[in-house]
Amino acid sequence: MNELKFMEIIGKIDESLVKEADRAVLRSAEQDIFGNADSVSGVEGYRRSRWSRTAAAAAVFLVIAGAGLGGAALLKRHGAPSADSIEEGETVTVSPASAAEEKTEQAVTEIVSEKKETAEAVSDVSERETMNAEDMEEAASGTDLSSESSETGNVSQETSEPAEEKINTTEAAEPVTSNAIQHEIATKAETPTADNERAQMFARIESLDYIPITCDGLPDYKLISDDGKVYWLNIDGRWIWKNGIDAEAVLPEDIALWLLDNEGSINMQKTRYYRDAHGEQDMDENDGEQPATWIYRRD
Amino acid sequence: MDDASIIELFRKREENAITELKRKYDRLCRYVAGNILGGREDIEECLNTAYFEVWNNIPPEIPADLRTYLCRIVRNIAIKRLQYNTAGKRDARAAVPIDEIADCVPACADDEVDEDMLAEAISRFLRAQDEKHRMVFVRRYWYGDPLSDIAQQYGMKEKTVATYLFRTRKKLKAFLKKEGYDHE
Repeated sequence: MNELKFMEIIGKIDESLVKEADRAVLRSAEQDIFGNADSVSGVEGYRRSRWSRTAAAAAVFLVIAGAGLGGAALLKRHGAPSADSIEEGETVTVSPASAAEEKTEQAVTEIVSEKKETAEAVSDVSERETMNAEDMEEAASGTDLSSESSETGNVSQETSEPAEEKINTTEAAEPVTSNAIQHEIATKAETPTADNERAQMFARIESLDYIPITCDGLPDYKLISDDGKVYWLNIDGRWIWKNGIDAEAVLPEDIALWLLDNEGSINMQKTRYYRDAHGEQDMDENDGEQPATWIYRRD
Repeated sequence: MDDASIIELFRKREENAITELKRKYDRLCRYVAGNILGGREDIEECLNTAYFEVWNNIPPEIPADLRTYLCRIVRNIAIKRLQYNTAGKRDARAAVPIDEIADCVPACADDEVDEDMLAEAISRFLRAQDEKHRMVFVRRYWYGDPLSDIAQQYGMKEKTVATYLFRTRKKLKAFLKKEGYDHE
């Protein structure tokens, strides 16, 4: 029997054996065609992990808390300047809670500047006195040694005062702390100086209860405040006009007395109406100015 | 179209039965014939002969499995064609692993062997083997699949397939010897 005949006989084997082998190949071929014999069906619902919501809430909380703490730290570091960092001449900028506080701050600033000016004036005085002492020393040299020593002593005594003043000036030039400012304010409130009183007076004149003009009298004085505002006064009639504004107010007696007392030191001039009424000669033609809100008829 | 419908067409002697059969199984038949025959013309002639044989056989035959029935016809025709080519020293290019099976071939003469009884003996032997050895043997010597295809189909290495076949052939030779089929 040859091999081909034997192959032909093999072809006659039981059909079930052939089908078995064929099925296996078909399964394998289907797997090759479709990739995988495992069937997939249905839709699996997406299930969010249980801890994701908690984690998200915790993350949001951390972000908010971090922002709050960071903001607080920044405010603490770069917030309002400490009182120790305020130096002389530096204007303390604090948002005023009311107009009174603002005025107090202005007053404090003025006090500091005035103190500085005072220190400078004292320094000038000491320099001048020192120079005078030197001149006197030169003039007295070679005449009387005993008197020279006494003069020198006097001079040194005189020159020692500016030295003390200089010490005070140096003290004033030291950084002004808020405590010092408060102390200064308290001191000023207890013993108001002339300048402070002047500022307060002008402030009071500014804040009088002005109403539309009702009287028909003539102003005796023209007052110009330190900040350049012009007022017209009648001391006897106890009224005051605010220039440029149709406004009249009752002039308190203490203010009228203060104005008369300080007539020489403030910018208050008699008007031509006053001079005409009192028979005084008009020395300055410009004094005949009349208020803007009022028309004067000369008879 | 399913196999029953195709068989019904053959029974009714409708000409489109061959068309439907070719449409469904032409690739498979070409594959089986190609595993035995080397030449393209031999394969084409083998397939035409197979379809004509099916047309002649159905009816009266009613195959239970048209697919296996058709493959068996194609295989037999392809082997006969290969025998014809070999005997006439024509184009004897064969893809079928004839040399491998030589060890199992009984030494007795063709007329002394009942082919059906030998086929039944081989079938009994294969049923006694485990499934994987059995299927590899059938794929290799019935369908004529290359080792590489068998290895891919069953997820094995080619060397492993060759080892499976070698052991099965040895067992088959011993089995046939026990059955009375002497070997040289």
